[in-house]
Formats: sequence, structure tokens, C-alpha cells
Amino acid sequence: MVTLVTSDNEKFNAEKEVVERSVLIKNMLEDVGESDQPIPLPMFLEYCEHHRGEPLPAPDADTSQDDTRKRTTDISEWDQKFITVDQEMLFEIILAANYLDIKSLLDVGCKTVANMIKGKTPEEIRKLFNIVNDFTPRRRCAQIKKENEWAEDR
Amino acid sequence: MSAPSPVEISEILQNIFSHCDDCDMYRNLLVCQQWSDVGLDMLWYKITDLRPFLELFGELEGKGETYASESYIFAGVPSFVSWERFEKVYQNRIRIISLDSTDIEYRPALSTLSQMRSEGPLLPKLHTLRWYGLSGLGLIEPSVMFMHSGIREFAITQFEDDDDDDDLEDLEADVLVSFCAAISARMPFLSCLHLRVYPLQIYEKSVVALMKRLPNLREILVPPFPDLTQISLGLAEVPQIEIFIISNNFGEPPSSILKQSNPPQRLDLRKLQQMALYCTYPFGTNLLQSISSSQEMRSLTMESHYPEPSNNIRVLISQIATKFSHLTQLHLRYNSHICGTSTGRILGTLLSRPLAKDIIHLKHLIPILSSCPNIIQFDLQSPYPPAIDDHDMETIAKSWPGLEEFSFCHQPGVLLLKREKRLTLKALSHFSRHCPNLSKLQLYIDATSDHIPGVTSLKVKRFAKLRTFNVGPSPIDEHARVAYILAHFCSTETKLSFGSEWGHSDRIDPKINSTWRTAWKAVEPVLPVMTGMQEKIDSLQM
Repeated sequence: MVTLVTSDNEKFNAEKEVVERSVLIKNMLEDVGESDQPIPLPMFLEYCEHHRGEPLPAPDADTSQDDTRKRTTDISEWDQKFITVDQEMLFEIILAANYLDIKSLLDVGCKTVANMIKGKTPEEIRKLFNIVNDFTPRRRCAQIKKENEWAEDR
Repeated sequence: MSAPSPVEISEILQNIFSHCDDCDMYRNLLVCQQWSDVGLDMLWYKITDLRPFLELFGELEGKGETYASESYIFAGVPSFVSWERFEKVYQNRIRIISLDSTDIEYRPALSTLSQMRSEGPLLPKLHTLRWYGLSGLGLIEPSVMFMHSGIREFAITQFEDDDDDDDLEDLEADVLVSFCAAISARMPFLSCLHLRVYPLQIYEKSVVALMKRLPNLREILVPPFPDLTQISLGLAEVPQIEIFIISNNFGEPPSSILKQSNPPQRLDLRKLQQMALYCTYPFGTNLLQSISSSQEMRSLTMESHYPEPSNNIRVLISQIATKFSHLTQLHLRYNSHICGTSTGRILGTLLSRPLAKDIIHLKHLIPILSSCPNIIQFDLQSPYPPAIDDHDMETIAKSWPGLEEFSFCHQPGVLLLKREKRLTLKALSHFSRHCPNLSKLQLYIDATSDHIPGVTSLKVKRFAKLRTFNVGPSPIDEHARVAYILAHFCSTETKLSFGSEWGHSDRIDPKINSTWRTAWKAVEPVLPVMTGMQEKIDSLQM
């Protein structure tokens, strides 16, 4: 068992096998060795508990990829339920998964965002995520548009 | 200070965009500068169509061509401004080019670019260049303009078109000599080279010379030259090789294919991990004989165009067992084309009797069962069903507990109804008990009523991971009884496949295509329902 501590000092006990889904925690546990030093924790135990026993991604899984894109947004039923939260919480989960290096959770979060932007215009996406249109001058955007119009029809 | 939003962090954006299709990516590019930058990196990472690339330099217009297809030229001369824009925004984003024969339409436009470009690589970050279907003498120019020392993977396929075979054979040896020279001079650090060129004997020398000039070469694919002596000898000088492939892309091979007039005595290829050889089994056996045994060897495929008597299989398998005890994947296919080509015999003949020398028995497989315990993928495809029964299959299942995929002559060209040894549904119980990881099982079984086992006589255990169960053109009559048995082994996620995979369906025996196929088709919708019910009954009994 290891002890995990949230930023507001709440303590959780969890099995080592479960929390090692996070590469960051796995590395931290290796660093502290066998000592009882607690590990800081944001919310992710439930996710790791559910996915206990599933194979972890190989360390170099991404380096030899032929394509940068998977183009699939299928999410399992359990994960879908887990990730059905408001946008603020979704973004926090993504940031935490990224920080803790839990690839499968990060992927679920990112797939959810990909589903949110599917079919939306650039203006709708900007509104949705509060993004400023910083193309200066504006014709730069028009140029990108012209050079990449082929992708729209594929 | 508040935490940044994940949609402002480039590495997270990359992950989000990796789940978007091209159309969504196009809109992502127009959201803001950062999204545009990340999106362009991904959209232009791999080019599978030359048109968008060429249009960065100017408008294209069709030029009525003499024959075959149209070809494209630039409507005006590409401007300096467009070059500057290309260099600033796109040049360093393209990593992979993967094209097919249709892209040859752009040869005139490419040639204009080739003349205009400045010194240095056109696409400096390009690491992979694949061009499938470059025809004849066009082999050189269009691909050479993209070559540079940063490229690690190069694959080229000559145009496969029956009408053009004469052109291919007319190619003079010096075309390939000069092409090979260009490859080694411009891409000296290649680690992967696939040369799917026409197997003209005069090419072999150039290919061997090229192999020797590439110090980082790890993977090589060569065509099945009629005499592979030079290639076999050449392998001795590339001890770093990990993957060696002989692959045929040009239909029927020459009749004298694959001999070695003077086989090498010893090939010390300690790093060899994978071999896929399109060759006769005596050639394959000879080559394996000369290769020193390797702990690294994981995957071996041997595909022969010709009939191989069972003695050839026995000798080959003994050789494999002696050399490669750590093998995890073994694929042996021979003469399977008799089902798929117009020159083949009658398809799915029911009563033909092959000679005893053509039939595989368990004794032929015994050496690999004991010497290669780590097999996870096994695939044997022969023209006749082997003389192997359920009891023999138990021996195989027990020997390879790690099996994940097992395909055993599930598409025999000659079905042999009358035979002493046959597989039945009982074989399933051996696999489900001894191979817990099995996800794909392909068997030719006799599921006719005379051979359906009673459930009580079976040691039933449900497969945990079986996703595909393929019975090919297996005989069957009472579909309900078969579905009832299968419901004890399958899970609701198991997909049943059946039917022949042969071409020329009009020449297949009607019994295979009508009676049996109809019966299996009737099993298909019933199976998941019965499986679900049986699972419930099982859980109540526990």
C-alpha cells in the first residue's frame, strides 16, 4: 500500500499496482523507494481502480508511429460515464492526467474534446473554449484556408 | 495565476487533434495561431497525394496525355513568393511521403519543381519515402528529387500491370544500376529498404552491391530473383540485418525460381529477428541451414508458390526447430494459390485423392511443438486438409499454451470428404482448456451430424478472449445442433466467419457455396442469442 495526499492534505491509501497506472507516480515510488513517504495526489483513483490489470502502454509506443492520427473517437461505456462532467472538470482531468502521465485517461479526455469540436466552425470553437482569434494580419488566416482547402473535402 | 487551459498546451492539442479527421483538422487550423501551428504539423506530417503539395507552388492544369491517364503541369511558373512561403510554413513539416501509381500524373509538374529548387534537400525533415507503382523508366526522376541523407526508410514498387510486363522486361540493367547508385549516394543512412522491382536476374548484382553500401541497414525486402545465390552470399556482409524479406509482386514467378547454385556455407546473422521468404521450401531449408542459430529470431514466414511434398515440410520444420527456439510467430503457406488463379485446378474438389506424400501428419509438426514452446501465432495453409484429428490437436494445444492466433488449413483447395482423420467441434474443448489467450481460431472441421460430439462427452470450458472463429468452407448439415455446441464455447463477443476465400466463385462446387454456406449462415444469428442464454445457465449453476 502507498499513501497519497491531495493538495488540501486529505490522505488516501491505495494499492501500489493500481496507482502505478500513472507513469509519474510509478517513477515517484521508485524515487522514494521503500520509505513510507506520502505521494501527492489529485483525483484519479477511481479511474485507475477501474482499469486495474489492463496492460500499460509500452514506453516507446509513440515513437515509431507512421501516422500522427488515430481518427477514432470511440470511448468505452464506463469511460464515457466517467468523463461526462462539465467542461471545467473535464479540463482539470485532462491537465491532471497529463501531469501524472496516465496515457489512457488523457486519451479519453482528449477524445471527448475532439468530439466536442467535431463539425463546429472555427468561430464556434473559439466561443466554446474562450479562445482569441490572434491571426494578424487576418489575411494570414485566409492564406492558410486557401492552402488547406483540400482537407475539407477528404 | 490560473492554470493554462489544456487547449493552449501544444502536446495536449496534438492528442486532441489526433482524433480528428481531415475535415475537422481544416477547421482547427483557422481557430488561432497556436491551433494552426499544431494542426499544420499534423496535417502535413504525411503526404499521400501530391496535388495539395504541388498546389502550394501554383495552380495546376491538365494536359491531354497521349495514353493512359492525364498529366498535370503548372499553369504558370511557380513564383519566388510561393517558394518563400513553402520554405517558411510547409517545408519542415513533411516527414512521410507515401504515394501510389496515380501520382505519376504529376510527373511534369514535379519535374518543373525539380529544375527550380535551390541547393539542399527539398524536404529536410522527410524520413520516409514510399512510392508504390512507379512505372518502368519513370523509376528514377520523381523519387530522386526527394532523396537526402536524413531519410531512413525507402520503399519502391514498380508498376504492376499485365500490359506493361513487356516494358518492365525491356528495362536495361543500367537503369537499376544507376537507380541503386542514387539510393546509396543520396540516402546513405537508410535503415529500411524495400525494393519491389521486377525480379530480373540482371538486377540482382546491383541490389547486392547496394545492400553492402548501407551500413545502417536493418530491414531489406528484395524480389524473388530466379537465382538468389548473390543475395544469399551478400547477406554475409550485412551482419546487422534484423528483418529479411523476399516478396513477390508480379504474379506467376519464373519456373526456375529460387535456387542457389552455390549456397553460402555459413551466415552469421545474430541480429536477425524476422524473415518472410517467398521461396520453394528446399531453398528456404538451405538458407536456414546456412544461418547460424539465433535467440533473437521471433517471426518466420515461408510462402511457396509450388506444391510441397510432406517430406519438404518435415525437413523445413526440423531445421526451424533446431535453429530458432525463441520463435513466437510461424506462418507456412504453400500452393494455396490453386484456389485463386485461373490456372488452378477445379476449386473445392470434394473427392480428389491426393497422393499420400502430399498429406501432413502430426509427426511432421512434432519437432517445433517441443523446441518452440513460445509460439503465439501459428498459420499453416496447404492445398489439402492434414491428416490430423482432435486428439492430435490436443497435443498441439497443450504444447503452445501462449497461443493467441491459430490458423490451420482452414481454406484447403481440395476438401477430401473421405479421410481417416478429421477435426470436429471437439477440437474446441482442447483449445479453450489449454490456450486461455486465444483470440483467433481458424479451422477446417467436419461439422456434419455423424461427427458432432455430444455436449456431455466434452470437457466444456468457455473461451475468455476468442473474438474470431473461422470455419472456412467446412461441411455442416444440422445448424441448430452446431449452434448449441458452439454456444458452450464462444462468448457473446465471438464472431463466426465461414465460406471460401477463393476467387472464381463460379467454379466452386455448389455444395460448398449453397448447402454448407446456407447452414453456417443460419448458425450466425442464432449463436450470440444461444451463447447469452447458455452463459446465464452457466452462472446459475455455479
